[in-house]
Amino acid sequence: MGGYILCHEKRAETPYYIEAAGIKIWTIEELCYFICQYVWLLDGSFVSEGLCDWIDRELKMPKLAKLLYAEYYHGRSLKSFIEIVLNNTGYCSKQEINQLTRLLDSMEHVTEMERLKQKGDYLLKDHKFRRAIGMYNKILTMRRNRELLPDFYGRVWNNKGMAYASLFLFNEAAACMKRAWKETGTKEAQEAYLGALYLAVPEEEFKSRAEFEGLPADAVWAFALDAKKVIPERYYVPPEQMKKEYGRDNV
Amino acid sequence: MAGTWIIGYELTAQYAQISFYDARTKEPESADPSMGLQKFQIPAVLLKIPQTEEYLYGQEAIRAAKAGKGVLLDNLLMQAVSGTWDGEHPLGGKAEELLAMFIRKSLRTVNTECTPKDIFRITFTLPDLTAPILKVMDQVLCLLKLPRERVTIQDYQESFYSYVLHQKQELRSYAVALFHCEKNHLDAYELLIHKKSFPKVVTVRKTGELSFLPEDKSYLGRADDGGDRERDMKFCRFIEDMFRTKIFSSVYLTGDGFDTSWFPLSLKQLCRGRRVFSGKNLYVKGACYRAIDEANPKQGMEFLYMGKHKITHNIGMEVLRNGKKEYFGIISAGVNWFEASGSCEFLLDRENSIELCIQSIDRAEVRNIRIPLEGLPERPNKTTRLHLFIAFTGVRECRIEVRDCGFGEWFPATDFFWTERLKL
Repeated sequence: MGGYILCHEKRAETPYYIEAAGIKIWTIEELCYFICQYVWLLDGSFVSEGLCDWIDRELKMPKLAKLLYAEYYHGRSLKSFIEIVLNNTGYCSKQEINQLTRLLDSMEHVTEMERLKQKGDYLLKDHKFRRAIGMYNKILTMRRNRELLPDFYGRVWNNKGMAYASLFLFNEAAACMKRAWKETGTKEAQEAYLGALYLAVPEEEFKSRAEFEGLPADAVWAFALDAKKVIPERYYVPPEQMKKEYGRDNV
Repeated sequence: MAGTWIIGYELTAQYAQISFYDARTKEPESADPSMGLQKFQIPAVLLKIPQTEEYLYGQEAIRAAKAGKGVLLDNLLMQAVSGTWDGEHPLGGKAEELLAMFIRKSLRTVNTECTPKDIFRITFTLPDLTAPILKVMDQVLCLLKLPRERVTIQDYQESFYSYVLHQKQELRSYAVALFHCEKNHLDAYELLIHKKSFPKVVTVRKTGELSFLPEDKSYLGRADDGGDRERDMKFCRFIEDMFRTKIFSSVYLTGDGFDTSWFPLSLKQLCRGRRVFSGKNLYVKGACYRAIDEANPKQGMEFLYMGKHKITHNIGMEVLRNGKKEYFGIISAGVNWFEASGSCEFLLDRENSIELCIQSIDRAEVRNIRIPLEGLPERPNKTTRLHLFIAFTGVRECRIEVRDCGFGEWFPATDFFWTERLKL
């Protein structure tokens, strides 16, 4: 059954900037949405005096702020801080809050690398490409963890490649996709690599370059044929527009 | 003294009267422009002194006009309402500007330092409230720079209610009568308190009217004994008819028509078993009582006045507030339609329409109406934040507006806007 969630009357004049996600929020409902949707971005830095101040002064919610200040000064966990926010705003149902806290509990057993990858994935989804690449780079510079699933590194390289492709940096994207393919060896990774390569090199060089890179000839031919259908013509994007796109997505 | 005055202001086409709250007596006092002569009415006129930018108002303007010092600008309220002066008046500004100027100047009779910005609360009372009058009053309030939340406007009947409610309880144990007499016309009203409901509903009903225009018009307007006696007899019969079926605790006489003592017989009839009061400042004092009440809002109300301008329906929504389902009132019944507006913001939780709950004041009629939101942008659940605004365009007609507020940086506001008129 549906319904209507009455919003808190006050909207902040100065937004709160959430560093981890690079986004600004103006209302308590947006804060709750962030908590629910970006669980993996939440860490100790989220529990801050600045957030308590913002809730108190900008949103004029002194009761909630008082509870949060107490949590902050007692150095309690992220989980209890979040529970207080959600229990006192009415944005989430009890069931949703329970689900979220269970997820927070399970996150405690997750390695730092996996956590970083989740953060990177959120940023990628939110079109914060440069920040996402930064997260993936952090993982890739860390010592290799053999306990992780075999395709973990492949997925990291793949997502990094996607972030580069979104920035129109197709050469870098192709290099990442190649690493992803080498890591996993799956058909999907191979196709992603072919795609990145197709965008990175001139059309006439594509087949020879792909074969030079060691990709199977039949797959290259099949892809080239499909690519022509999917991308009927390559159109020229003026550098100015490209810069504009780049600027918009990477604020 | 910034923002301390509590004022009642009576405005008619001919004159104005001002009453203010006196903190010493804790009662409204009438502002006396006549310097102790107890003539509280201020003629609603202005006079521009030729070759200057200076204006005179009230009695001073009338005296100057008689001395031939300029042309009198009268009937300011009606001129503004009817728009007789097309654009700017040759001797002054626009009619609304002149009216605003008159109000500003007349407020000085309270105190030389009383300006609109020093007013904490003001209630205007006018004989009747029509849409054009309310429009003019809105413009005038804007010109006076009086914030709308500090102002209330009410008609004479509501001022009568406010006045009676602030009198001793025994004076309103039963019905209360009001006779308003102007020249050759008399209107009669009765105020009833329905004690069985909570809050106690109070109504003011016009019970009848009386015209003193004689069939033989030869002595029309003559204050001779024959004419007065006939008027007195007529009024006496009218009172007998009116008081036959109901018990009245008190009677109020107001208006210029009761200036002379032409009604000895009727007065004897009126005073039989009840208290009778006569005066010209009933409405303005009623307005001031209302302003005082507005300045000191009390928890829970004992009385609810239901006049012809009052909204008879509550409008609200079933919402989730802090996780609990409850009724959220947007418009409350018992408010004057021209002052009734309300808004709220909410998130859609697995909904693609809005359901409003409309309930009559006696809760006899409850109906839900569903507003479909076609063209609403598609977003994940709980990220569609809508602003709902309801304002009244008549006592039984309201306008509903819904607009998209967006949701943070994730979903910027779109130009989605939905509006409809609703008949109650």
